[in-house]
Amino acid sequence: MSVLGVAYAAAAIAVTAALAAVPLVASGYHLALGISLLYFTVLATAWALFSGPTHYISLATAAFFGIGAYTTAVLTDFLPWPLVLVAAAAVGLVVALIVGLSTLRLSGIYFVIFSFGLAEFIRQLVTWYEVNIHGSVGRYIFAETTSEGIYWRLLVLMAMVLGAGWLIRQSRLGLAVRVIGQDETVARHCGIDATRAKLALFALSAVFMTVTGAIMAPRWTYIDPAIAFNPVLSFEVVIMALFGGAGTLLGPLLGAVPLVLLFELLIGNFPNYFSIVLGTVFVLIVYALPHGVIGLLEAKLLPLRRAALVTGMSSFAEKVMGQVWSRAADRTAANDAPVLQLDNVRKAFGGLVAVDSLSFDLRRGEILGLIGPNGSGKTTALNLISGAITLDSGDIKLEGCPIAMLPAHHIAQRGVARTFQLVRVLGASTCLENVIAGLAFHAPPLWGREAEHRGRALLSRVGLDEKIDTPAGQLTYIDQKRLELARALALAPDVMLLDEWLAGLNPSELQVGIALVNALREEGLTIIIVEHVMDAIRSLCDHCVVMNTGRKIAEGPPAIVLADRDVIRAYLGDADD
Amino acid sequence: MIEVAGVSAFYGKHCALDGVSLTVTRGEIVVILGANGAGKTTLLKVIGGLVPAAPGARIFISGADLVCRDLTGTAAHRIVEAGVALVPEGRGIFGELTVRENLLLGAYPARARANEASNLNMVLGLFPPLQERLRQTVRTMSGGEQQMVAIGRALMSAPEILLLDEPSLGLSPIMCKELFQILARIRTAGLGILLVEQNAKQSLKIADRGYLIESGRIVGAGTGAALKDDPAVQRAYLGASAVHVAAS
Repeated sequence: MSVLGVAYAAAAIAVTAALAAVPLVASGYHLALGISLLYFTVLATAWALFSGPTHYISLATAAFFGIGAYTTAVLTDFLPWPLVLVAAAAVGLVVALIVGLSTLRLSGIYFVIFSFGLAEFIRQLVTWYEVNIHGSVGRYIFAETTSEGIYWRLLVLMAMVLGAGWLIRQSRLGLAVRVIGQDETVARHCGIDATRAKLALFALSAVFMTVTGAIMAPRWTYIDPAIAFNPVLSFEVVIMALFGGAGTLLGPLLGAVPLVLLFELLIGNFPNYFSIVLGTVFVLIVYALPHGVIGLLEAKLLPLRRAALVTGMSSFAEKVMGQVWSRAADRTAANDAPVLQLDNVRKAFGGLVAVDSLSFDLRRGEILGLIGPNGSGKTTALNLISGAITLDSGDIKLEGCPIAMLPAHHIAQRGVARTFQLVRVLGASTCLENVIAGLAFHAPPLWGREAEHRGRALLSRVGLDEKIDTPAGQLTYIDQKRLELARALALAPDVMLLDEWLAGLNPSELQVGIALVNALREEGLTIIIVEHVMDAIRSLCDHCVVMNTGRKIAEGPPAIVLADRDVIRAYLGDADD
Repeated sequence: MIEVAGVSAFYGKHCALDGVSLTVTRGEIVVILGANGAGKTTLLKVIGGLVPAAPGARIFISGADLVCRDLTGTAAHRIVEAGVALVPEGRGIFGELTVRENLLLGAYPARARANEASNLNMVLGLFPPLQERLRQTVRTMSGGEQQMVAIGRALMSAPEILLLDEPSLGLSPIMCKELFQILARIRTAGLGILLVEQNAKQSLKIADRGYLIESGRIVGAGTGAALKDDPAVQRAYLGASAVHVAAS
């Protein structure tokens, strides 16, 4: 651990110890305020564990909080305290997994509405059970616990949720959800199992919320579904997390503390005008701090940190270069079987047949040019190979294994990498993190310093040495294309799909680009390029497949197919230069 | 015509444009050549009002009515209203809308509303494939078709000056040739076209004049024919070796 790490750990322990001592000096009102601060901090931090990086706004906080409260209400007479909390965590986990599996394919506004509906649904379900089976709407909780006990339990829980958040931020899971939050398609093509990553974090966040509810339940003595599943709680937590800054670990805390204090102040001084004053204050806050508290702090601190990050690494980069494509080189055994085979592939979008009876073989170490008029189905063919979409009929085989029905992240892990026609980089992440997204999720995954070293090597390979810490969104269009290639190479692929990667280069840049693609082939990569730049097709491709309206109309070496009468008529136009 | 004088632009401390001056008159195609990162896109964005110019710049347009308007520091939507339309790099189409909706959005400025129907006919005449696809969602179209929509939408605002940022990007060779023929036809309608292109060979063929831009400065200018034969231009922008490879 670095000196800085030790300092942070010591500070965290000192703060926790100081907070733990609070009940020894405070009581009554102040202890109650402390409990409010802690439980909102735990909820907001837990909410941001999942919703912060993925940008999936969840309004299900009240659902899990209520489940926890009810677990306590039902079990507290039969089980000792620790077991009640374990049971609550287990119930929360099971519900989260069921809900997550069925809904995390929803995104955007649909997920928001669903999560809100979930809280309401569970409340109605509990109400129905209580009325019809238990026989009364409310329950009394006679747990032998004190305010001090609740405070300390919440404090431990807060330490755990912050610790979990800190660990996840360092982990591959943390990177996976950050990538998912920015571009789920890219995430899948980097080999990330997006569903599993989202599910894991959703469940973890739900467990913390459930346990919070279980700890808080004895505060009320009496609960009914309206109290335990209060939907306002969900909104308060979202507001706190967003006010503080949901993208950072301590952001939710920085949001929860001032807002809880504000609630207290308003309730104490303006009990009759609470809502209207609160609303006004919210509007003013959003106006003054559009990026939250953490945004304000970062604007002041960031320039210092950026400067500290830039460190020279180029000599090491060169040393690592040779190892980057080791995997591809391993497999260049004398083997004449095609790497990739398309057999009678068909894909229709509604009535439009985009790809129709397309068959071709890709030989090891060759560059295959997939050319044809705009709208002839070239990009659709790449999408089918990379698993971005599934075919209607036919078969695609990689090394003899059918891959047509595999999800995109499996195909990526098996060694098929791609770039996109309109570049897709993770704009808010640095170039290095973009490349590490490609390194961290294939087998064997690279992580930590090793991933950083290879990431730098790959960036220097595509000529981005000086942009390592630059956010990808600030790169020029061409540099973004380079970055995308580096990310694809990070997968150590056997097959590379380049969708108009050379488009938009001027003639001299084109020469450099062509040389780079050629070098990749020399190193053992097998490549399919979709390209309209005929100079590139002529000088790079061993073999061309020409498509028109979804079908293959010609196939062969470029010199022959480009002289084909049909190809000229459909694609090249009459030669005039 | 549009007149640009002394335009500089900065991204943070990075100087992207350094005192650029140029003119485009009615019925003329002017091409800007330069390496990636030289400032070509920034120049179009400054003229279109998407990137602010540093103090000291002057941008004027005088339309068919011969009234000269100062566009310096004007908001982007007012620049469109004054008759300057930009087709951005990467197309910038509205993927969830239909072709028809995308095109009609282009006619939103007050200057274009009266002639919306006739302009739509004109655009569909220039790009016949769009005629049969008016109801299609643009997101589902191929790259080349989307590019037609993007250019068509700009023309719908009845501009005097058309700014095109790499319109041939992602177009098949045949469609690329068609595009340049269409640009030549648009010119005969009296529009001035400012074109940023990597396809130097074909763009110089239709261009009346051209400028060379390097590290944010204009380093050369001339007629299309003169630039095409200039050895320095050939080396830097036409890729002499590429020409050689193509010929062999």
